[in-house]
Amino acid sequence: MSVTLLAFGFATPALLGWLALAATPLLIHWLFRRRFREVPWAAMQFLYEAARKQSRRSRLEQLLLLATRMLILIVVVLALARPHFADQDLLARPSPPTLRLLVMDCSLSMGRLAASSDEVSSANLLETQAANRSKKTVFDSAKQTAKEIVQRGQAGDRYLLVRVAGSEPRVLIQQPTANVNSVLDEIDRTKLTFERGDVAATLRLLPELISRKRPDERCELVVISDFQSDNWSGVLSDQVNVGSNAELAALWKQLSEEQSLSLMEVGPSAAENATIASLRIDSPLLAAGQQTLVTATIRNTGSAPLTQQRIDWLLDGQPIGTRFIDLPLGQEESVATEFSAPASGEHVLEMRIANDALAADNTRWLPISVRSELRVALVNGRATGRPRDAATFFVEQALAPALSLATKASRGVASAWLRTQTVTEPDLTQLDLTAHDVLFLCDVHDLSDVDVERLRKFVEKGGGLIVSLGPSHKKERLNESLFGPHGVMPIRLLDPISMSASASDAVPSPFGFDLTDDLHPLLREFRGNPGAGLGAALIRQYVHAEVLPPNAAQTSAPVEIALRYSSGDPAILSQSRGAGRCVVLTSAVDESWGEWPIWAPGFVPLMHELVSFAASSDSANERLIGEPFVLSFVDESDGSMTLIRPNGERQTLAIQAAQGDSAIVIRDTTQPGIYEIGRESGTSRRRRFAINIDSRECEPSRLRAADLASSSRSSDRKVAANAASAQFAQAGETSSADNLSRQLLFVVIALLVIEQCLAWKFSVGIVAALLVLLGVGIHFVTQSESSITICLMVCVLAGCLWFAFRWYSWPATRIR
Amino acid sequence: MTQTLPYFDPRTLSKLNGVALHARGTVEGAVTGAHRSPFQGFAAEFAEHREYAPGDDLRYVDWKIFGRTDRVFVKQFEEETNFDCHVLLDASESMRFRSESATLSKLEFAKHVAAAISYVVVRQQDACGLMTFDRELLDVVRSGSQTTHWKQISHVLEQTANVGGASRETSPTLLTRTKLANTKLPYNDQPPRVLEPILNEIADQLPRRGIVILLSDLFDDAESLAKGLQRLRHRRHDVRVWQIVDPAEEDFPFDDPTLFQGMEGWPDLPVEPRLLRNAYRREFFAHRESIRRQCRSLRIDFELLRTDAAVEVAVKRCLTGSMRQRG
Repeated sequence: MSVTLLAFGFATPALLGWLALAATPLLIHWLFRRRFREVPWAAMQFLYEAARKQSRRSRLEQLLLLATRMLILIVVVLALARPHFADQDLLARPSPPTLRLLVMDCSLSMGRLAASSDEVSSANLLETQAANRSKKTVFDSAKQTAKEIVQRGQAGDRYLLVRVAGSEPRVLIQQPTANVNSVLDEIDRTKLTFERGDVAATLRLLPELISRKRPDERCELVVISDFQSDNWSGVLSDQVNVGSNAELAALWKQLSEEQSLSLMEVGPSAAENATIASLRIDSPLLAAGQQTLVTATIRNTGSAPLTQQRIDWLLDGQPIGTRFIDLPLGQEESVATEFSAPASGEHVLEMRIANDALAADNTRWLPISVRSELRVALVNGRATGRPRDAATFFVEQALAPALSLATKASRGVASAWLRTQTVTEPDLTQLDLTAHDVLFLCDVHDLSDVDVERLRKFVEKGGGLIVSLGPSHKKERLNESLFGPHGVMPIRLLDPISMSASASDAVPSPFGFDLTDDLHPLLREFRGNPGAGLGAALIRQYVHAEVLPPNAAQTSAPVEIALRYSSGDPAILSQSRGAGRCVVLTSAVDESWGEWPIWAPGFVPLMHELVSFAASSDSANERLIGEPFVLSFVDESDGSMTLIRPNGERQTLAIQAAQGDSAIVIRDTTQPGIYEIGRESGTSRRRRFAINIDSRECEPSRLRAADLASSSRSSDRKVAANAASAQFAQAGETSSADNLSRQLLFVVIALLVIEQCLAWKFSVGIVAALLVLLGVGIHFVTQSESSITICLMVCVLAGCLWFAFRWYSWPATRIR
Repeated sequence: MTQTLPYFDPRTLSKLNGVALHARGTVEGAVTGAHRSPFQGFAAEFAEHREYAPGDDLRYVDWKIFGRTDRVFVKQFEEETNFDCHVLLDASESMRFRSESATLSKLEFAKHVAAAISYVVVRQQDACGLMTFDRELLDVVRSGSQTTHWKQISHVLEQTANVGGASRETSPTLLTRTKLANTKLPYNDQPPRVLEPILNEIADQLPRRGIVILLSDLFDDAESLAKGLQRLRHRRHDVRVWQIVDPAEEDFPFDDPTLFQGMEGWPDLPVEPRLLRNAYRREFFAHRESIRRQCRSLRIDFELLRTDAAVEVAVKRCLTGSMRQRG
């Protein structure tokens, strides 16, 4: 609460009651004056003469001394009450009108509770979140500060309002307005976002807004923020000045030097906070009833250690597990629980932690897709009479008798999970691709453009495509169609490399796989498991493949080399494309180029992993706040699509054309939660995706506003904790409460020195006062606080020297 | 005899053996003594020749001169005589002041000094008298050179003691607010001066020129005092001024707020001593310097006696100091 007295406001007005202490010297003086010793005295004539001569002067000296002592107490109390200039009109100095650019931070970190919140461990999280909403957040303080600034502005000032957020609109008041009420209403309407604060995007808007000021106006930039370091560190010039950081630092420097800058640091935030940094499941492909691990990373982003932090897992809203953990300050911990996959379909896995200072980072969602079966189509590209000579023979043998993809756990999943169908290459044209999840092309040699186009769409819609080579392939034809510009993967097949051609030794040796420590996720089952047999594979021949440079028009992910031969050439290449994946094996999966399907024990698990990897999507259903979600290859004939947002709001989606295909782009993903896309009238399955917050926004580290201000050489800059402690009307005339208190403490020190000198010898006190006045004068001229300090030190030193001189020379100067 | 007399402490007086009071110039005595007489006669020591005049005693004609020059001259001789020492003792109220640090009041100290002087003077077979005064002449002891004269002096000194001022020697007490409120500072209402008329009266009463020793605190106007002393010098007296002060009056050793109760009609004065000390001391020493300067112009010996000093030491220092000044 701030109380205004005359032209001053006081941050801690309760201390003003101590002003009564100023009467203490008067009281002591009065009490001691009324007590006299009585002494008979003969030499009265001298006493009277001395009193007559000294009376007026001594009374003046006494009054000055008394006033000095009272003033010391008054100034001490005033300094402790933290005064500030409250009424700018009383300080009136004609100043031009101001265009005040209010920049409000609306990022997620501003949503922290402003006061310390009681730890809530209630199971009913909705209740605790509702309780949180009733408390004041840092963002509420920021809005209050902004409103105070507007209310304290003088007539004629104009305002612009800009927000720091991750999405548009960033400029909330486009044209400068002098209508205070409309500015206040706009501030009231400003809402906190769940996004990261894109400081760079906001700052880039400012030069154009500043240019809207009139010639007779001065511009003042007021930034109200918690200055979360992840958002604001880029503006500091001592940060890594590369790329956009250097540009941002230069922009900030320019902004802060060309106009008046006021940094309003709001907070502090509550102490305890934990953030769910990530949530993932162990298996990329879930079968109904499959046991799998769900792992979460919890990070303590508060300023105090957390004990017995409650963690809840929910599946489709039903609790599936609860744990309590201790989280040291600044540490993160991975917490896992096992659950059984439900029936096939789209499900949502949700994780919650107990309520704390920032409620938005206490929940994280992960959509999971559970399948009842995995359908694999094997395409045999080699026409032979014997089944064993078919290119698909060994793959079929490897997959068909499989118990399941989750056989590793042997949890009783039926073998019906993996269903295979073998077709010949000519039959591929009639094959219903939508009835299959994975398509395995074995040694196909000539695919028509129509087939390639179908395969491309199949992959981009979420299907998995595996291509293996062999003696029958035609590299020129495949390079043109399957791997061409409109193919499924941007690679080029070169000449086959055989064992005899490459071996320089007398006895040629076959190729093996190069199993390094850092294996691709496709091969994660072989990681740390050398007995799995993949290293025992011996291959006589393969096709050398090279990855084409990325095309600017391409939007798919880059090609990854998942496995190499011992010669260093790529053995398995993979690429995520659209919602699906494509995998290329540059050798044969039969005995034509090597006996590894027969002898290598790792062949069977590798085939299973290939199928599983190709069938799983790459977290396509999870996005961070602000990232657009694209649903490709939507069939327009199926009717309109509807989006259901986390708050239940429905929105009819417009289908857009993207690269010749229809797609739905959802850009407004500013609210965390589960989004559901479905058709108004169909019974087809609904697509769900999750929008989660960016955990970087929850980091507790803050930049000090003083550091941000110090990066500017401008003298007209102010750093304050609230609006009441800063003045915004008069340029260069304002000072914060701390500055005024510090100056008052300087006055106290000066008065103490003067009082001591006056009490000792009046003339010395006058000299000390003159020295202090000299110091104050120098201070105003040079704007250096050290001048006052130097003058005070000169006073003390002169006093000491004087006293020492008088002490040693006292007998000689004693009047006899 | 001296053992039974007040103020004649044998142990003190015994320390004054060998100390003598000498007249600076000529003094008029009744009997032949050790001091030069202003009268030239026919005693022991030749002074000069003078031409014979009718009526001169023919016994003093210098016949040898007559035989050589045929002119008649008579011989003249300097007369040696004793002197009268008059001790003037100020018994005013201000002399009764005694500070806490002093053992004797100024009056008590002055009495001891007067007794010591009379002892020294009579012992050297000169005559000593005593006069006490405050606003007027109180007692007079005619000069005498008999040792029995000490008894009279002792008696007068004893009679002079404890007259008035007893209430001022009580220990300091706290002043009430009412009393303080009634206190005024009548700077322009000073009491009348007393020393000049008294000294004039004393000068008129002294029959022969001799040594006059004034024992007083001299708290009077310096010019007025000088006029009184000038009167004594005009009567050809060898005047000695011995100022007697209390150490507190010199040092002003007060720190706490003090109500100074005035003596000799001075009103009380509340004072912050720390603020007034320097000014008071300046006034005090300026007054003393003024008196010293006046004394020097009148060829009067001036000595200072602090009551915290031993009497015999103070007297010896004053007497030997007088001899030095006399040269």
